[in-house]
Formats: sequence, structure tokens, C-alpha cells
Amino acid sequence: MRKKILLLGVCALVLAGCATSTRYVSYTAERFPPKDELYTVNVYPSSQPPAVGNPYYVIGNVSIEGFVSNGVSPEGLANQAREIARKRGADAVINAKTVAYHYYGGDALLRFKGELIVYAPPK
Amino acid sequence: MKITLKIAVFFLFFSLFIIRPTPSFAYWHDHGYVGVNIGVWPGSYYYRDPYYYPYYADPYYAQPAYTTVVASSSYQPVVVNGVTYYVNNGVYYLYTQYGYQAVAAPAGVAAPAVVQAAPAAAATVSADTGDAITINIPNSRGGYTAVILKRSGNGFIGPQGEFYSEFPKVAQLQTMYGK
Repeated sequence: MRKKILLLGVCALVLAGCATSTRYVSYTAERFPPKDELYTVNVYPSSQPPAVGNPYYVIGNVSIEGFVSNGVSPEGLANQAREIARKRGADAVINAKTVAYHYYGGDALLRFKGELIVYAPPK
Repeated sequence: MKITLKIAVFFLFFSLFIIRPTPSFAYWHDHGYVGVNIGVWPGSYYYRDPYYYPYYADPYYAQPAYTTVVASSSYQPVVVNGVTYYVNNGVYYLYTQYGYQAVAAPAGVAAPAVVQAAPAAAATVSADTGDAITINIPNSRGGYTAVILKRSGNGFIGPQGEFYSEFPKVAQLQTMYGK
């Protein structure tokens, strides 16, 4: 009985599916301490670069994609980017943009791209 | 055959159909948080690029087998006064051990235009806030006069209440507001 329950549980997990695919490319070998779950990570679009007066380092880029038919939305992708940024210790996401690729049959692939930054410590 | 074994075989067979790679699967190395990767999809695609983590490792929960730093192709190198800067989206960067550090544009170099900015025209649409569109019209003083058009049905209404059945041309607006 226990094995059956275990098998059913594994089946349910797989059926939940892989809603999104993610990729992270680091620009540095340095590691940064993860941010707290309550830390607010701002997402800046590519048309709105943060002010250079607030110095920062770009530590890597993140790409997330998923199909609309799997319940993926631009907001969901941005939130997932925020989560990845927290785990990577980033303060914000810049140059963010989401592109939709439409397919015959009505489905669409949403692809989010952005770069993670950490603010430079004050001198 | 025991029922549990039957279920297991059915599960493995069925899972071949439910794992759907994305169109660019050659570049994607791992899947989302709720999925379970059982490795039925050929793994070689995910190992093509040595910079990416192995397919089975989730980089957000597990340490990668190795760490490789990748220089981004979107950062174009520019040498100014012997210093190599990298320009991306109109911002100058210096490459450091912590990644690309944003810096002010070097002296004597004009800040590059933001790539994603709207293309400039002779009369530029400077703002589109829902029903109101602001257009900068060249005036006789060598500057620009801001003209606000409001959408009205299929047309537009100008500052003096004039109605345009379609979006007015620069010359049309210049005769009225370019002085």
C-alpha cells in the first residue's frame, strides 16, 4: 500500500509538469549571499536603466520561458526572475523584457530575459 | 506481474509523452520548480554548451559540478583613452571580478543612445498616455513646441479644438503651432 501511494505521488508530481524552463549565466565567479524572501527585487525594463549614480555590478543574466497553455504569464515569469535573483543574491533585475512567440493552434511561448545586478557597497 | 510493477511501467512509458522540450531546448539546461526530471529525454542536447550546468542539476538548489564565467556578447567593448569599457543598452561598464560595473560615460565621449528607445523623427512623439499624445513640432525659433492631441473616436482633437480624421502630419501641425 505504501508503495502504491509513493508511485501515485511521483506520478502526480510528473503530471504537474515542467511549467517553465530557466537558464542562468553568470558573468562572475563571485558568489553573493542569498536575499531574504521578503526582500523586494525591482525589475527594470530595458528602456529604463537604473541611474549610474547608484553604482551596481551586473553579475549574470537569466532567461525563463514557458507556454501560456501551461499557465505561464508575464507576471509569473517576472516573479520567478525575482525569486532567482534572491537566490543569487541580486538586488534587482535590469534590461528585462518578455517576448511572446505565437504558434499555430493558439498557444504562445513567453520568454523573459533580464540581467541580475548587485548594488555596489557605499564607499 | 505485480500491480505496482505494472503501474511503474505505465508511468515510465507515459512520461515519454508528457515531457515536452521547448523549441530552444538545446540552450536550456533545467526545468522549473515543480517538475521532476526523470531523464527520459536525451540529455546530450543539454550538454552541448559547456557553460551550462548539467541537465540534472538544479543550479538554484544544488552546486554545479564546475563554475565557468561567461562574457556576455551583448556587451560591446569600446576602448577610450586606453581603458576598455563595455557598452550595453546605452550604459558604460568596466569588467571587474564582481561582473560588469556600471560607470559614468568617460569624459569626452557622448553617452550612447539607449538601444530600445523609440526612434526619433523630425516631429517626435514624446509621450502617449492613453488618450493624449504629445508631439514635439519644430517651430520657427529653432526649438520644438509640444502639441497635445486627444483621441476622439477614430480621430484626434488638437489643442484649439480642431478635429483630425486621421493622425495629422507634421506639416499640418506646423502651420498652426510651428510659429
